Amino acid sequence: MSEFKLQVTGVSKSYVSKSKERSIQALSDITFEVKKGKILGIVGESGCGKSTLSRIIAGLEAPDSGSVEVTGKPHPVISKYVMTNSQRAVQLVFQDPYSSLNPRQPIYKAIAEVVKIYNPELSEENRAQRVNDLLGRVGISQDMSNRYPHQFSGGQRQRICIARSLAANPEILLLDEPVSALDVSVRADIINLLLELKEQFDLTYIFVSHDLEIVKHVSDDIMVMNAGRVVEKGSWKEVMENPQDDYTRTLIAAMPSLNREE
Amino acid sequence: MSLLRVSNLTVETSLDGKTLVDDVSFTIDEGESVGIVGESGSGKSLSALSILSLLPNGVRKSSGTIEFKGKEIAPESLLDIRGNRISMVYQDPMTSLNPMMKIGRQIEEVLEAHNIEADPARVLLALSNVRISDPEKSANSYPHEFSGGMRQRVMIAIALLLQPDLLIADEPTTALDVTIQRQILNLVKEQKTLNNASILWISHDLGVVAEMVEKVIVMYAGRIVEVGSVKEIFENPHHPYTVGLIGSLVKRKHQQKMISIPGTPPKPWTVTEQCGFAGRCSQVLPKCTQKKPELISEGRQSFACFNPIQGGL
Repeated sequence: MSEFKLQVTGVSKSYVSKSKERSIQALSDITFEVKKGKILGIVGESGCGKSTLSRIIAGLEAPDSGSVEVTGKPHPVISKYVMTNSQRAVQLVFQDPYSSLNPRQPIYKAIAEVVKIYNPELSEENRAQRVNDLLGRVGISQDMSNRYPHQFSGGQRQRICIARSLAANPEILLLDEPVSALDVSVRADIINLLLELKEQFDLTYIFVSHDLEIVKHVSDDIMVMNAGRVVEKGSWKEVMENPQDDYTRTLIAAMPSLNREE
Repeated sequence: MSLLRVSNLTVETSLDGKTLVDDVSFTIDEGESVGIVGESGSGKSLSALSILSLLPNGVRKSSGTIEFKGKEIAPESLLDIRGNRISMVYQDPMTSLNPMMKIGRQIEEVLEAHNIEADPARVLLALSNVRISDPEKSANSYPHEFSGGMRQRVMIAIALLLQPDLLIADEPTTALDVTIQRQILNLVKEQKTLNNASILWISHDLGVVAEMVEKVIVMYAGRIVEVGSVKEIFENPHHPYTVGLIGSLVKRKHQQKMISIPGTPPKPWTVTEQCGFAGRCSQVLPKCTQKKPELISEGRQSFACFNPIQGGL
């Protein structure tokens, strides 16, 4: 078995503009790997290609060239008709929890649906137990499970989205700006929860964000992207304290001057 | 004499009188930079908008006075002050610019509105002051041809056009990338020194506020909970909310649990008779839910708490 949980090799992707006049190179030759149980932080500004990369890792889109492997096996693009094991293994948590929950569906149903897909063998009773267990793990009490998304706060909604992604028994969680839309006083709470869950469920994280402070706190390794390329990658300490690339240096210098870490 | 004095400002919904901003008072001296930090719903933007009577529909100022240079801002004098002595920059520059009008023309409009002859040279100077390269071409462009950072530069050019005494900036860099944010922060600092303007900087980002201002006002659930210099607030906060907020930023060890505040902020109108933070506070006393703590001063710092934290972070 491969020592890497996720291996991305030479991934490139370009889009053609509507008028077919221009082609935009969204990703060029992206190569990196993440070991099991580690957190890779991906930073970059808007347009750097981090969202396209997330979509490719999640199997929502195919790269033009290159490959994505999960636990040493190729990770195919999701098809409507066939659910494969490797698709289950990578789950996404998005920035805005409100737009990723169906407003007309009680949250119990939102999670039960996922359990039904990935654990069809469970009886209704066991399914309910599993949903309640997942909600409990993210700190949402059982008696709230019949409520609708609008009845929760932003932080609670993000907890629900995290519970839903866990319902698929994932191995990798792709966290795409998971705290950027939340109130400042709630962010630390969600970060703490994510770090706890990683241990409990034996997960590997890809943490995509524009917020260097948060990425620095959570990541084992950091990868910096600019204009569709990886400009720097290394351990969080190397990248933050001894950046080699000019762009990384600009990013770090641009951080507002409140970085007193103990 | 303070440049701006806000006293006992209270803002509520017009329809059912729900309190959104509760008894807020603060001052800004000439040349001073003041920041208001708070989360969404804390009342920071409504407090700022009240200064220039720009509250949105459905929300009204129910009491309080706003004095500029010692005189209360009356509705008749508003047109002379707004955009002239006090100007404002908002979060989203695209919605503050007219998409159908060329940039240069939008700048001229401001001059005309204040009965100043629209001199093309002045427009170009305003654009080059905010480091827009090729001002002539830019003046002839429409907002959609500009990037977000460039649009925010145009907004700043407009805001500083008449050398205001006070610039109110409401989350002006929140929608921008970090490197662009850096350019805008530096630009505002530079322009502030040139014009010796006072600044009221509204943000949820403590890092940005720490860099841009001297005095920080912390708002929570519609009320001011703590006021102090940047140094005091960051090194020796007293209100448990400020302590939690700053603790989560500065006191962290890599991948270890961050200091966090459990729960979520309440709606301001549900906590008018008690401390708004009581429900999330680790220091809570019985009287915190029975009575509203007043802002009390200790030296230059003040805080609204019955059981403040002593001894710094």
